[in-house]
Amino acid sequence: MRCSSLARGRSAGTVLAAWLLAMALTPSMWAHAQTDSRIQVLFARAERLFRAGEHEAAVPLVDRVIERIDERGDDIPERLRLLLFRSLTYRVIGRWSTGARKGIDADLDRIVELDPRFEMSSDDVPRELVARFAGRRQRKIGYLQISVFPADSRVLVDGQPVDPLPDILPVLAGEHNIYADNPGFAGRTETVRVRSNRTEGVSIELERASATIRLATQPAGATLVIDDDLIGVTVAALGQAGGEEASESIVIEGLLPGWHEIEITLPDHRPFRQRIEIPDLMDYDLGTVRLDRSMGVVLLRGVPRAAEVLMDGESPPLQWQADLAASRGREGSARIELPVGSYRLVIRHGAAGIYESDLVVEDGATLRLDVALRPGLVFVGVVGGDDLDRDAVRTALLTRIERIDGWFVLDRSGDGSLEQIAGLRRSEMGTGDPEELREAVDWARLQQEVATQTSGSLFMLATVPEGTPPGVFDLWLWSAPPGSARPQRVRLAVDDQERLGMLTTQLREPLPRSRPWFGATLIDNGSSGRPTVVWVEPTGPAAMAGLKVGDEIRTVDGVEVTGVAELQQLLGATEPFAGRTLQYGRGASIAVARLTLGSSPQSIATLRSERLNAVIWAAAAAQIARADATTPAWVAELDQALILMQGAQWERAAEWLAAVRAPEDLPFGQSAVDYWRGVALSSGPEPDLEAARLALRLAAGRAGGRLHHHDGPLVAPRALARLAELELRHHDS
Amino acid sequence: MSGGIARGLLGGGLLALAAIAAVAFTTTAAVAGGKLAGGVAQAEAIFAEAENLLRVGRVEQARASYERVIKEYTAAEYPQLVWRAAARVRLGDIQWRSSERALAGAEYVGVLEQEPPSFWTGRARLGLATVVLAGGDWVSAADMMQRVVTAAELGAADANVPAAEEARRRLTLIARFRLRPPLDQPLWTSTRALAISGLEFDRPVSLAAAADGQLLVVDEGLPSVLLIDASHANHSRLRYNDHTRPWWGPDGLPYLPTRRAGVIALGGGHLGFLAGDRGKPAPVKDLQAGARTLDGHWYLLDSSPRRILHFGPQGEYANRVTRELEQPVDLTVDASGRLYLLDRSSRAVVRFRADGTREGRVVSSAWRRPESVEVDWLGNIYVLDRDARTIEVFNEQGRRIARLGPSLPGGVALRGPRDIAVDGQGRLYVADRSASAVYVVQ
Repeated sequence: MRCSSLARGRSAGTVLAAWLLAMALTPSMWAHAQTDSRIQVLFARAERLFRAGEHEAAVPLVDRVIERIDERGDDIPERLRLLLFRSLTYRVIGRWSTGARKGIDADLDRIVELDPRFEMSSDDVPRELVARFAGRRQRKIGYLQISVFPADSRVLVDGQPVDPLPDILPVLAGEHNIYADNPGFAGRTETVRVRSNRTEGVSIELERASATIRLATQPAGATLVIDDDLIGVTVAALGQAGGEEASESIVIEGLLPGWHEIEITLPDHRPFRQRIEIPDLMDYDLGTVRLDRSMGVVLLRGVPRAAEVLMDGESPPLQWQADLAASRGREGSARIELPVGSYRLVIRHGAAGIYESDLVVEDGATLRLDVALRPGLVFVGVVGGDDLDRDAVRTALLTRIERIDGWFVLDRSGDGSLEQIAGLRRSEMGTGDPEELREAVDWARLQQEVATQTSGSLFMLATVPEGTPPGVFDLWLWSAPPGSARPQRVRLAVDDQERLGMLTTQLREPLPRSRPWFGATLIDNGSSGRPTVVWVEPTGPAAMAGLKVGDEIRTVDGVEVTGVAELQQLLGATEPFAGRTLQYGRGASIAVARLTLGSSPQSIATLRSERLNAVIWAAAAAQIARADATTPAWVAELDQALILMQGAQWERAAEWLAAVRAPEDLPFGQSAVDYWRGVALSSGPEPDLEAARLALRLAAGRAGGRLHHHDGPLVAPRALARLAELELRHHDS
Repeated sequence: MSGGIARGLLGGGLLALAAIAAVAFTTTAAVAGGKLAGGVAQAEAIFAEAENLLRVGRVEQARASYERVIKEYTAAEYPQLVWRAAARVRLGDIQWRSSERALAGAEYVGVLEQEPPSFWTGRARLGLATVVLAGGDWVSAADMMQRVVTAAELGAADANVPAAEEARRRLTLIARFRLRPPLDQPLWTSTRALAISGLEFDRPVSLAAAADGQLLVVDEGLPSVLLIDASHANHSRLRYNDHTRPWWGPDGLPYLPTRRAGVIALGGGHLGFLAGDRGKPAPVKDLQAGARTLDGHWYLLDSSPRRILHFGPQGEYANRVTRELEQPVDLTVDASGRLYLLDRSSRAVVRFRADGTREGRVVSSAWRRPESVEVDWLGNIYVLDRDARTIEVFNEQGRRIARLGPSLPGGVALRGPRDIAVDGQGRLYVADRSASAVYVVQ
C-alpha cells in the first residue's frame, strides 16, 4: 500500500533547514549557491535595463547570465532553467531590437527546447520576430494527443507531470515516454516518436490493480495503520495551522478485496478502529473520520457551590449533580469533564479553607474525590536576625506545622513580597522589646494586604528581635478578616520543644469537641460517702434514666464510686450516646438504671492565658463556613464572640452575639448567648446598661441554663450577680 | 472613749492562706521576665500589705490596697498575675460584709471569667456560693461548691485544697438540711460519746467547734481545757484558769474568755479590754462568752452587769449592744457577720445585721432555761435548753425544723447538758456535765 498527498505543505523553515543541512554536507553545492545568487543579481540588473528600454545595455548583461548558466552544463537546476529561458527571450528581443541578429535563431531554438509549449505573442514583440520564432518552432516540435483512462490519472511525459493534461501537448520532435498511473491501477508507460509539425495520438488504458480508500481525519495529524502496516500521518489542509479542522484527504491504494483493519490514532484522542470489507476492486470513500478527544470525569463531593475551583489555574465548567449529600441538605457533587492528563486541583472557599490535590484523568474513567476543606495556615516569613537565624526559625516552625492535620499550610516565607507588605525592616526590630514592634507596625493594613495576596485563615509571622539569645524568636499570629488584626505574640525558641509542642497542640485541636452529657448535678455527701443527686435536668439523660434528687450513686458498670470526681472521670471517658449501668440508693432501697449519655457541644472556656485566640478564631470561622454538622454553627459564633471579648472589643462582641441564635430548650443554648451579650453590653467605656440588664434578665430567667456545655456552670447565679451590680451602678448614677 | 488590747501573736488563718498563695505565684511567675517580674513582685508586696491591714481590722485601708493591685496591674499587661485575682476575691469578701454586698457576686464572677485559673478561683467560687445561697438558691450554691471539690480532687489548674475541704463540709451540711427533709429522713441519725485515748471527761461545761471538727472543751472537773483534733483521736491539754465559754473564730483561731484574765487567744496572748461610755474606761471582767467577726470586731458578754459589748478590731470600745432589760446568756456570729444573742429574759434570740443594726427577734420559744446558742453556715440557729435538756433547731427565718433531746438520736439520754457547738458539716456537739461526756450527734 502506498499513499499519496502526504506531507505536502511542509513549512518553509523545514525546507530551508534541509537545504542548509544539505549545504553543510556538500561544499560544492554551497559554491553553486553563491554563484546562483550572483547570476540572479546580474539578471535583475539586466531585466531592469531591458524594461527601461535600454536593450543595448541589457544584452551584454544577459550574455553573461547565459554564459554563467551554460557553465553548469547539463546539470541546470529548475530555477536557473527559468532564468535561462527568460534571459534567452530578452536576448532575442534585445538583439532583434538593436539589429544584432546574429545567433538569434540559435537562441530561438533553445527557447523552444526549453519550453516546447511556449508561444511568443506579438503584444510586446515585433511581428517579424514572432513569425521567425514560430517558424523555428514549427521545425522543432510536434504534438502529442494523449488520452488516458481513467481520465483523472496522473500523466508524466518524459518524467515530468503534465497537469492539467491538455488536448494537444506540444513536445520536441523525437521519442517521448508517456507514463500514466492512478491509485488502484497499475502504472503504464508508452513510448512514442513525434515528428515535427505532426500530431501523434497516444491512448493509455490503465488496468485495475487494487481497491482504494479515500479518507480524511478530523483533526489532522492522525496516524493511519491498515492491517498493521503504517500508512502515514494525515496533514492539515493548506491554510490551516492545526487545531481541530479536518485534514487533507488521503487515498490508500494496494488494497485487495476482503476484510481489512483500519486504525487511526491521535494522542489525547480515542483511537478509531474499524474492520471493513472491500468487496471489489473499486474506489471507496470513507469521508472524514472524526476522532473524539479522550475525556475523563472528575467528581468532587463536598464542594460548596460558592467555592472557587481551579484546574491548573483555570476555572473549568462545573455541573452540579444531586447525590446522597444533596439529599442530606448539602450541595451535592460537582462534575467536571476534562481531557486526559495530569492536573493540579485547587479549591478555595474563604474561611472554610483550601483543598489541593494532584490528579490524573483517564479516558472514560470517573475520578471521585471527597473534598475536605482545611483552613489555610499561612507562614508569612521570618524577619530580623541574620540568614542563619531565619533559617533556623523557619525550619523549626515548618517542621512542626507541616504535619498538622486540619490545616492547609502555605509556606510563603520565600515570597519577599509578603514581607514587603509587612513593611518590616531590620531597623524596626528595635531594641528587642516586642511591644515596641507591636506599636510600630500597622497590623490592620498588614492583615488586609496579606489577605488580598493569599488565601488563608490564620497568618504567622516570626520576628527575631535584636538582643535576644540565639534561637529565640517571637511568633505573631493573627486571623483573616473579620477577625482581629491585632496579633497575639508568643515567645518561642528553636530548641524549646515544650513550647513548640504547645503551639502544635493548639493548632491540632483549637476547638473543644463535643462531650458526653449526663444531665444532673451531684455533690459529695459526707454523711453517706456517696455522690448524691441534687438536681436533674428534666430533658436530660439522667432524667431519662429515672434518677431523682436525693439518689446516691453506688456503682457505675459495677465499679464502686465514692466521690463525684471519680464518677465524672468514669462517665467522662464514655463516648456520647454510649450506655452505662448505674446502681443507686434511694432511701432504704437500691435500684439499677441504664443511662445513655447524651452529647453536648462545648465552647471555649472564658480565659486561658496560654490559648491562641487567632487560631481559635480561624478554626471557628472554618467550622461555620463548612457548615460542619458535628458542631452547631452557633457554638463557633459564640466562641468568636468570646475571642472578641477577650480583646476588649465589647461593642463588636455584643453585635456579634445579637445575631447568634441558639437552642432555647437545651441547657447550653440561648441563655449562655444572652448572658455573654449582657456581659459585653455592660463592659467597655460606653456600656449600654439598659440593654445589658434586659439580656441578663433573659439569661437569668431560663432555669437550668448552663455555660460552656450542658453540664457546665449555671447561668442564672452569674446573671443575677451581674444584675445586682448593674442595679447598684444604675442607682448610683 | 476607746480601749486597747494587748497585741499577741495571732498566727494561722489569713497568713496561712497568704503563704499558700505565694506558692501558687512562684509557679506562675516563672513565666514573667524583665520589667514584668518587677511588677509582679510589687503587686505581691501590695497584696501582702493589704492582707496585714485586713488582719488587724483596717478594712478600708486594706480595700484601697486591693483596689490598687486591680487597677495598676491589668490583665492586658499581666495576664498571668495571680495577685489580681486574689485582690478581687478579697474585695468581694469585703463588699459582702459591707453595705455593698450587691457588688460582691459580680466581683467573684469576674474572677471566674476574667482571671486565669488559680488557687483563688476556688475561693471565688466559694464566695459566689455564699452570695447565691443568701438569695435562697442552695442548688446553685451546691453546684458551685462541688466544682471546687472536684477541681481539687482532679488536681486541676484551679485546685484549692483548703477551699475544697471547706466546700466539702458545706456540701454535707446542705445534704443534711436540704436533701433529707424532703425524703422524710432525719437530720441526725446517731450519737456517740467522744472516746479519746488517754482522756476521760469529768465535768465538761463548755465547748467550741471549728468548721473542720476541732474541739475546744472546758472541763472544770479535770480541771483542763482540752484541744481535740479534727479526727477526734488526739488531744492536748491546757491549764485551766477560770475559762468560761470558748468560741472558734472565723479566722480559724480558738478564743477562751476567762473570768479574770480577759480573753486568751490560743496561739498567743492575753487580751484585756477596757470599756466605758462615760468617764474613765474600766477593765471588762468576768467574761462569759464572746465572738469575733471576720473583719476583727469583738463582741463580749460579761456577767456583771450582763451586757454585750462591742469592740473594734484594735480593741477600741465601740458600744454596748444589749438593751437594759435584756439578760444575754450567750452570743455567736454567723458566716456573714450577723450577731445573735440569746436573751434568757425574753426567751428569744435577737439578731443584728452585719452593719450592727438590730434586726429584732428571730427566734422565740418557751424555753425553761436557754443556755447556749449556735449558728451554722446555712444560718440555722441552735438553742440549748439546759433545764429541758433539749436542743431546738430553727431555720434562718426562725421556723423550728428539729428538736433533739432529752433522748438524742440513737437513744443516748442527756442528763445535764451545759453547752452545744456545731461544726462545718452540721455535726452537733453537746457538753453533758452530769454525764461526764461530750456527745457527737451526726
